[in-house]
Amino acid sequence: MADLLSATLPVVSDPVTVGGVTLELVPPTSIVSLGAFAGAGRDELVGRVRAEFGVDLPDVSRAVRSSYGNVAFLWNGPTQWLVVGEDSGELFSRLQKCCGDVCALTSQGDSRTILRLSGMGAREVATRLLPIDLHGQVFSTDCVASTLAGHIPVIVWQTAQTPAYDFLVFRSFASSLFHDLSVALNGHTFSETDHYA
Amino acid sequence: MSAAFGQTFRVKSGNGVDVSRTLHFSFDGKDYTGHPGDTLASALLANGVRLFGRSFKYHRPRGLLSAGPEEPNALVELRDGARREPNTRATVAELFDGLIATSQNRWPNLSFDALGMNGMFSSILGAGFYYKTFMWPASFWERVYEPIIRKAAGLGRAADEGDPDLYEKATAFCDVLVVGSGSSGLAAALAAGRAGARVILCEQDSLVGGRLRDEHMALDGKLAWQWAEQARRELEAMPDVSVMTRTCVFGTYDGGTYGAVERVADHVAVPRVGQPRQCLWRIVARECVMAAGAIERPVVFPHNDRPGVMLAGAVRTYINRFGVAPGRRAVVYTCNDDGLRTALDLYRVGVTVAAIVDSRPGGASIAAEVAAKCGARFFPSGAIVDCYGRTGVKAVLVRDAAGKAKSVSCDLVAMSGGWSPNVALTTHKGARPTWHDDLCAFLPFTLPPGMAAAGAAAGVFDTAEGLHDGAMAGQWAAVRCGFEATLPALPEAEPTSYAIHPLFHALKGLAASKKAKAFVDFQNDVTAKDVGLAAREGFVSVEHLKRYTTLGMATDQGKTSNVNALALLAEITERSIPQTGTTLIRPPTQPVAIGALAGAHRGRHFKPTRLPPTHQWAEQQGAVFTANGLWLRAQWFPRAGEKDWLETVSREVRTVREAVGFCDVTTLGKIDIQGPDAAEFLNRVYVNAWLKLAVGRVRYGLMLREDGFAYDDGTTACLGENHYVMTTTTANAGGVMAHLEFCHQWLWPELDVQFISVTDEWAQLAVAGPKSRDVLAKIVDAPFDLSNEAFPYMAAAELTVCGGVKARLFRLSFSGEMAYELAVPARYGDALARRLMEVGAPFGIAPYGTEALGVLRIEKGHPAGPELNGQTTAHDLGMGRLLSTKKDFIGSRMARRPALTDPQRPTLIGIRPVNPMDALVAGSHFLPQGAAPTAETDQGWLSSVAWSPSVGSWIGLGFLTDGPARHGEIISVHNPLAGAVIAARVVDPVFVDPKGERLHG
Repeated sequence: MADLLSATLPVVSDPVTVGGVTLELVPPTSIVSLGAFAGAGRDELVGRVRAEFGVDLPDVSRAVRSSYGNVAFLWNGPTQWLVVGEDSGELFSRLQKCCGDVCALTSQGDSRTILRLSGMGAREVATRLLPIDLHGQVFSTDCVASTLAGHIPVIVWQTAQTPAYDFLVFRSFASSLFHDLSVALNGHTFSETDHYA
Repeated sequence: MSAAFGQTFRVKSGNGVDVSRTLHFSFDGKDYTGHPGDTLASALLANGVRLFGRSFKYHRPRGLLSAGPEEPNALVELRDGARREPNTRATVAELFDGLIATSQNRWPNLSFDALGMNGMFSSILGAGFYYKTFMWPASFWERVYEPIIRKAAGLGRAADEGDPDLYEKATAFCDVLVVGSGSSGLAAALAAGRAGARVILCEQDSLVGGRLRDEHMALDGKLAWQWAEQARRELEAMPDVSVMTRTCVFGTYDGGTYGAVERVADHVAVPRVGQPRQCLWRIVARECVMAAGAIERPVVFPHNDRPGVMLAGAVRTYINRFGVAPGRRAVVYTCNDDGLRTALDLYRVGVTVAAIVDSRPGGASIAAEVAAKCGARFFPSGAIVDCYGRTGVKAVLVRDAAGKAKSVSCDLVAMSGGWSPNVALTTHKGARPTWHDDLCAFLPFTLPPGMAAAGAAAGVFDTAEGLHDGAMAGQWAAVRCGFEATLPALPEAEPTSYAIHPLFHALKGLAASKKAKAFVDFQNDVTAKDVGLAAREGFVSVEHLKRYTTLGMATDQGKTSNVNALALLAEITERSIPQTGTTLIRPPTQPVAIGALAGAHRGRHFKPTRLPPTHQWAEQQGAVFTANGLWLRAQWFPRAGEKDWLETVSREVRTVREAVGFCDVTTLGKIDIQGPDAAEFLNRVYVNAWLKLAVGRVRYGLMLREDGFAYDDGTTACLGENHYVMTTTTANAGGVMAHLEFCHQWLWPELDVQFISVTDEWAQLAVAGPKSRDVLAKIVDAPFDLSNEAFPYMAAAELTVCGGVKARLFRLSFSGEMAYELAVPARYGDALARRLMEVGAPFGIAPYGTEALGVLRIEKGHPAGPELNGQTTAHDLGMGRLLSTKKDFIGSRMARRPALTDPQRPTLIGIRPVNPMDALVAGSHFLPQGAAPTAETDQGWLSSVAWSPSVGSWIGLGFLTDGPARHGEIISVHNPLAGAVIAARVVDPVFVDPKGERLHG
């Protein structure tokens, strides 16, 4: 039995574009959660991550991108971060080498699916589901929020100024969220009062 | 009336109507024309239609009272088919081409209504009539009285089909929310917007301007509505300002949150594909300027509900905004200078002003001057004491200062009892407004945090003052949000006077029979006599008056009636209005469609669906699915030739017992727990001991709630030093995670431990049956040793399968057979199911669903959801001995309460009917054989049942008083719903392999 199992995507729908806004499934990425242990381990962790990735772990709800390598660290509550990188499978071992002894590392790449909403007007579509203020003065590139999209728990990460929003959602909810976002997408081109929300 | 000559009451082009285009519509099957910008009300009025509907209780003919959302009379059924909307106010329904409207509450037609005779019996249909009359016998209320009353006193009919339209919900944030776009609202929005604040201006109407459109008025020498349009354009050009028309702010909620409903496509026949009909907005504002204006009060006089009796301000709206004269010959009845404007406007468009009846003494106002200018007879200190014309006003009886009555013929009565500020949004959080004698009005007193009232809503009725008041409020709102704001330059307005003198009714000295036809609440047909009767019967509290007479309880919520009713009650009970008090106004200020509240979450999308990783594969297998909380799980996998579900499920059970089956158990909660104190943490949340669990081993654990009752159970595996993975039941997965977080964050923050959910990370498949090891041997990668010695019952390991896919293997069994749970990253779950089918085929593998899973666990006596129902203890579940006495854990003290340790408590047992074919029903009660079925003889209940193919009998699990001591006894299983009693034997709850030999196989 040498043939590997093939991967199945959590959402079967093709990308949808309405009025310049696109909803799509982001190809699977490596995501690892990083939970800091208490006490001196915390400082040790911050130092090791700085040395390996060239960034300071954020202590507000933001994402920071590494200076070396295509890796982002998302604040995910006190003492917890999500590390998002390319799907090479090397991220986990790199982290384990870097800081595996001073924090909890848990693979989350299959747990969290990423749906991306992008294009002019993406903010207006997002306001149909998200109860948070997405105005540029308040929420801009690399801002992160743990919130609800309608009834579904999500982590929202603004990944581009355009804007683009990445919705990190539990895999089992991904189809439902894709549906809810596409309904919002179909409705948004009609509202005449949306330019500010 | 032919359409070409139809709009005979259109006297000029109104500022809100585009007469260059014509729209066609129908009312009660008759065709009419109107123009874009018309409401259904203004278009019908232009066509000379005065009769709009029948009243709720007495079926009296009714016309328009108002020109806005406060309309109590002109309610129609709008549209037809699935889009039919009952009780639509004709005054807010925007005209569109092809609009169809029907009058309601009449039979057989509007001008002749058979139930109109209710009016003749009005002397007995007074306040509390139904309560008093239809009391006996009580059983008749639901079956006989209520259906009859509902038929007689109905409003419109809802659509029979599901709503075909889409609705959505959205959230908006701003610094300053401005409610209302009249002079004050526009000035407030300009002041805040120019300062750079994020502003949302909500206007419930389709056009901005409020009364600037309704009045014949100039600002800076230009028509007032043109200034409003100019202000709108300026606001719309600001990047962080939004003007939302057709958006009614209907409620004030906590934390500066406001509810608003945007009528996105109510003004078109059918929304475009994908377009929502309405959008429910949650607006979060740091500051709010409430400039919602005021509503004019009618005057209570006999037959004041005749079609043609209108509010004076509404008459001006029809003339100035819509270019429609609501009559040819008018009488103006007022107690203030504002009402006199109506006479001037009517005169200007060529309507004869037959008389001005002013309740104030002659010298007190400019009334005489206005009357002279309009050529109207002038009645200072006058009153209208009756009104004639069944389906439309023909004349009024005017009593002059000397008490002499004169009949004046007319087809329109324009009345003004003064203006009531629209204070609703200031009161939704519990504050009541206060009465001001000088303005004869309730004004906002305690405002919700962050709210200011401005303009007419705050009792500032003069336009120049209103502009200034609004600008100040907008400026201060912006300043409080941290902006530097200045007062904008404001247009010059002509000064106006109000000079109100209290006038609520004209009933002094009139006979009681007249009071019975003097309406206070038009929509619910409450008369002055009803208010008097309620007071005489002791309902002198305003809250009791409301409920006894139903005053203010109609869809208009008493917008035009509450103050008059209070004034009447105050007079009758010889109290002042402040002493009488006012009822609380609750949201919404205007009716909100249920569809808007539901938004996009309707049908099967009313909640999200969670799909397990093998879902696509299971669909292809033709699985039947069941909802398990949010999860959709395969219930069973039917095969060709199987005649029913029971045959399928029994075959799946036999496959597991005799060969090998597999089932997706991903839905069980999985929590990754790591940290130096992880074991100690587990030791405190579970009832049993955890400190000595070795790496590579799994243990069953039971959690209690703090009150000592069983909460959840599952297994936890030790994957490494300080690294555990906990499983929970599917139902409690989220709750247990929250419970752990609570324990860590609040009870033991000193414990160094981290958790994260891995439920969705791993596709977990149970592989169960005597051939399970043979199947797994085909996919685990060398050199992993599956032998009983290397990987015994309750072992756990991390390994790779299928040539390098990382995996976790647990030797666990819910079925009682030799079994494993194999976890792979979720993306491979689907492929793993296919691979198991392939490699398992020689061993007779088959997938099984949740139903077989249930049968297997009942056969094995494992408690699940029906047993862990929140009312059972560890002792009840037969797990009393699991409770450690050597440590403290959540619930340990409370579990020792005498009531929870009473040996007489119903305890887990197995049940087998004496006749194996007797079907058991979960929920049945246990009784001693022969005992009468009473609460006293009740000894427990049946929690789970199944047809057991392994036993060849129906079997069940349940809780029986002193159960373990009664194995072998025959008891009655009583199902009172079906009236069935089954004789059954109490047995050990483990029906299959009681010694557990197969587990270790």
